[in-house]
Amino acid sequence: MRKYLIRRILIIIPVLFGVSIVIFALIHLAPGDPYSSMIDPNFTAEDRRNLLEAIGYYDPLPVKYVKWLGRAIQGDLGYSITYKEPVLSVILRNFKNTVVLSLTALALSVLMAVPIGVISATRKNTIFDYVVTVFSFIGISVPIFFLAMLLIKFLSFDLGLFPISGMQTIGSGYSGFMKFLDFVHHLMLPVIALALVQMAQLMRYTRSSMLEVIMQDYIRTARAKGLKERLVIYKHALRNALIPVVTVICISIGYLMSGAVLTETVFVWPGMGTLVYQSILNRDYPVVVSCALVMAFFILIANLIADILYAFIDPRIKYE
Amino acid sequence: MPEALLEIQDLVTSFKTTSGLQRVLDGINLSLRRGEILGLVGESGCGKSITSLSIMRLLPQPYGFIENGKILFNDKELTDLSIPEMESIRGNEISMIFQEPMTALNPVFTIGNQIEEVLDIHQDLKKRDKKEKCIEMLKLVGLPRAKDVYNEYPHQLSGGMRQRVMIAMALSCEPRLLIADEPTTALDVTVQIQILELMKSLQKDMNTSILLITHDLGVIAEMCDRVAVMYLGKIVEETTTVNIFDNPLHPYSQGLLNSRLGNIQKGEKLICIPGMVPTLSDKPQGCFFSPRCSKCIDRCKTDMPELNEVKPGHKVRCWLYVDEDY
Repeated sequence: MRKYLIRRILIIIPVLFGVSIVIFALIHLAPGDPYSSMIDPNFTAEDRRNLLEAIGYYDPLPVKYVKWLGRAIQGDLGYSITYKEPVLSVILRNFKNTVVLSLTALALSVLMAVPIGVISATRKNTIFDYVVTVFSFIGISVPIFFLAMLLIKFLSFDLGLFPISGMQTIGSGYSGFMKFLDFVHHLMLPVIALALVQMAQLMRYTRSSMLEVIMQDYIRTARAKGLKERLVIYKHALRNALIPVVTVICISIGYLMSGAVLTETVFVWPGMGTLVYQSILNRDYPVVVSCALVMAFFILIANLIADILYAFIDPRIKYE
Repeated sequence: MPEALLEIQDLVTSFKTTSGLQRVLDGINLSLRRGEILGLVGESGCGKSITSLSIMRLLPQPYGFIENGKILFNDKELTDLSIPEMESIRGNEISMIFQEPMTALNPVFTIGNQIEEVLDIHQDLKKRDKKEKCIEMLKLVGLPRAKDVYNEYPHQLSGGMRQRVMIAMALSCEPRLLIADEPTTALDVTVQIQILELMKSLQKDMNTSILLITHDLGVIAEMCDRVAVMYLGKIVEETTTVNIFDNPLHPYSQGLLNSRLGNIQKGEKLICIPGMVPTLSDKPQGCFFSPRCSKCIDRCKTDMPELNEVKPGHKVRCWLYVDEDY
């Protein structure tokens, strides 16, 4: 297991290397000059060229890549054109917000979806099951930006329960605990939107996985032992049913950590998703490349977590 | 005659299907004495397994249910018991082992964990005693590395070993009745005999009654004191093992015995009962076996015969043996 883990972690390095080449190439294939907005428009064309030459703009792509990589390894991801500060500090600031948003949404959706999925499977074809099924189909088919708009319209605008967007009340001057409460208040709406969509998916997976497991012979054995139905379901069946569900959860960790772009954008939540979106619009290449790398990194990590969890849940899986 | 441990009276079990109610068990009468091994034979789909699941009250929910009849076990009426009362009987007084040892154990728990669970439910033992008892059971069923097996998972064991584990689990609370639903069907022939011998010797030691469900007449000959033959949800013949082999009365029992491989020489054609088992929704008029029966008379096509005791200890459901001394 340990050997396997070390190997898996080491594999991340070449994969990231490959990802960085692809991203770097793609970004530089895009037309346009990101520095146009940085340079005083009154400069002559010659001055402009000299300036660009000094920062290596006319270097061949491989040279640029090697230079960039050399700095990136030392933790210098470049300088953001729009934010006028090092890329690393921009990403760290936004990443923190994404972690709070996505982990809250994930925790909420897992805590709700797994029990509901189980109950819906054990009461297959009852009214409860039908309601859950309809609800999850809505959740799966409605695009999240539309759902987010509806939530804003009903919960924020009509009922006034939550602020419409942002992370804090501007100009409120809250501090300490009040500031925290204000933050939570702003967090709710995007969390609800994200969690609803995640839940809809997870519920379907839990339900169908559970339905399959309940039919297994070992569930009948568990009942034949005289085990209470509650234990049959939550001990014997759930443990087995969770194996495929864990995959889905881990995939969504990767997705959420890279900042649910649409959700963050609609709610103007300053996370990774918003950062990527803004940076692409502003042609802030250093930020876009670094964000893409961070996202790739977290998707790899999420897959690694899934593999480790498998070995814990299912003793049949042994990594040699 | 020792008194009956299990007495099934007019048991009717039905399934709700898209084409309406289907009677899978159509008035089963069966009795099992203390310390006896009763075989239940019949072709696939005749209701053998449903009989066992009805006794355990583990019919597939929400489709299967007991429509009518009584199941008296040790003077308790099982069909009247509440769910908790039934849970305290399952695995304790009545245990069950299944056909597929490969899938009957939960893949994510250790063998020790799964056996101790039965002890947890039905007995109040200290942790160390529980483990001791568990390893003792594993030794009893002839597992050589009992202490290792205790910590192993089902996928690390062979089919025969898993069936031994199932037997250990089933017998750990010394049940009065063991229901074995085709316990050897999925195993290699050599392992089959070992498992049967094991069951027989443990049955003697613990004085447990066994209801052995099988379609293998060889298993019946090896194990059983008495046999009940089932066809399409009804018992058609019930008698001692000796009688069923030496003097089968019902044409269906005769057909089953004739289709054994031992009866034919190399090069001869295999003997079989003509026709197919009809589906439940398409039960024939009169005696259910009449369309396939070589001795069918007019009366068979209109009326279903009763299960009559034609000789002491020999019951048969056939018009051939009614109103006459055969």
